[in-house]
Amino acid sequence: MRERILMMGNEAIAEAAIRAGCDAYYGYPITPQNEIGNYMARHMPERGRVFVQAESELAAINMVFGTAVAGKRAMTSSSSPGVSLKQEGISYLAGAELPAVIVNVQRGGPGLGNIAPSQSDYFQAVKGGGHGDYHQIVLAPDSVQEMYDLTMLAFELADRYRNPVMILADGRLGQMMEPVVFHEPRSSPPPKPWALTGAKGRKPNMIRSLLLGEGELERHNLRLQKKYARICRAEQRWEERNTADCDILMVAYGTCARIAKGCIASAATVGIMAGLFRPITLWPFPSEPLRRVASSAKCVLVIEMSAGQMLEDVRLALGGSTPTHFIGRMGGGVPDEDAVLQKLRSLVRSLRKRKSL
Amino acid sequence: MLERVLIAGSGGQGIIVTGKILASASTRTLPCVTFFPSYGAEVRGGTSNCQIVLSTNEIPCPVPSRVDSMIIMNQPSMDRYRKMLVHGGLMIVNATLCVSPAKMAGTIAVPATGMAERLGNIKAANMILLGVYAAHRKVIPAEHVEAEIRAAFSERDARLLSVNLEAFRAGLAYGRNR
Repeated sequence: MRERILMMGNEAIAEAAIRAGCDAYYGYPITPQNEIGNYMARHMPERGRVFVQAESELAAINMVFGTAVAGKRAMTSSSSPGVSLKQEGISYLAGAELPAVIVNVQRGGPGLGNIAPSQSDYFQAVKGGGHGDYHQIVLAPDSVQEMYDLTMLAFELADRYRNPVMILADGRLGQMMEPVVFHEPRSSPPPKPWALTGAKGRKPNMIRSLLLGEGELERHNLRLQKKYARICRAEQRWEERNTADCDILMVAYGTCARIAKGCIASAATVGIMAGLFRPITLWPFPSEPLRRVASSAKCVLVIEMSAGQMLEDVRLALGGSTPTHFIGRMGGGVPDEDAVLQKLRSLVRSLRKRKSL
Repeated sequence: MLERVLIAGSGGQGIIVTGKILASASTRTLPCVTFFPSYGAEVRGGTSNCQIVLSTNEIPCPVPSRVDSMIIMNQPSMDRYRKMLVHGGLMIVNATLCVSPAKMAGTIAVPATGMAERLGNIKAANMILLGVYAAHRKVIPAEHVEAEIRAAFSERDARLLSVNLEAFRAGLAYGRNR
């Protein structure tokens, strides 16, 4: 068996970034993700790489821009209020088509909120929290191992598509410890002939998001949309549990998916056939696979730590084909297994009632 | 096998390090382990707790609402968390700092802070209670816990390591004699 290291989710992200060849990390402290900066402060300089505790979140995301434009791998991390501050920079990264990894270990909001886990930044992450017609790839881990695996994948995808990639985690995933198996990246960073590396002996490169020429910005947008369509076709990821013959299909990601996994077993003991569809990419959202899986279920239950944000994407994907219900908590509340189980029971009761009518 | 553990006390009593040692030791034999600390505005003297789940199967939630065992290091923690213990669960209590150790079945009262003081470091009370736990719940071998104590303290100070090891062994002996 390969060596398993007990690690905090935040540390797993940091270790994966280092192994993925992250050249520079920039961040500004905020709970519950401080262990990322802490880990990077310790390990980046000893490898001769860059660690900067920036003067603000805005500074950090713009430092990421600077590193990315020079063709190096860069990451920043924060939690909800801090990620709000980074939105302008993310829009610029998307506009300039620069690869970058942004980590959001979500906490309760709106405003400064609290430091408890939450999933209420879903809209911001997948619908574009900054301005303009852009998308970032959004990856949602549900274990410490996945915090590691998906961070590694994030660097790969960012370079492949020259696009910002966000790891959307939450305080619980960031703070919990679980055993992790390290693996090395599948490939080394690709060549970046577009990077601003000094134009000695070649034509100068130009990277900008200000495009004032006649029709220039629209053409740029059309090209971006083609890229996003390509990402949608190639990069949808999800996990299915017990979906083949379930009556109720739960849809959840991150911490809520963990809780749903527990519910599958406990529901079975009281005769309820429940399954789980877990989106791993929140953008691109795995709509088609979800529709396929949900078509054989009697109803769908979306579980979130929000007022129902991913719920909208589930409803869009299903187009009214399967009745869709919701259970959620806000402001740092986490749905527990008992509450979800109770919801499953009440759904089963109403399904039976409908059948008998 | 499923063992859910809560460790609670005041900030500075080594609650988090105790939980991490237990969790790390468990990764040597168990496929699934989670550790979850209370995080945020903890300060010395405030409350601190962590939860550890050990299992042969996938662990859905690292923050269980009920636990099978608890290690309680002070009175406020006992008042706050005792209801989380399952019927027939194991409660190990620091009797030095708990004026009214619960008279529930399955409660083991250990004068841990007093014992630690006699060993020469009052802060090693946590390792005494961990020793008692290891003696009673044979989920993980004591030598694995000892290895993790070595890993946790050896870099810092040889004296600190030896008093913590001594405390753990004292707890083991105390637990085995009960």
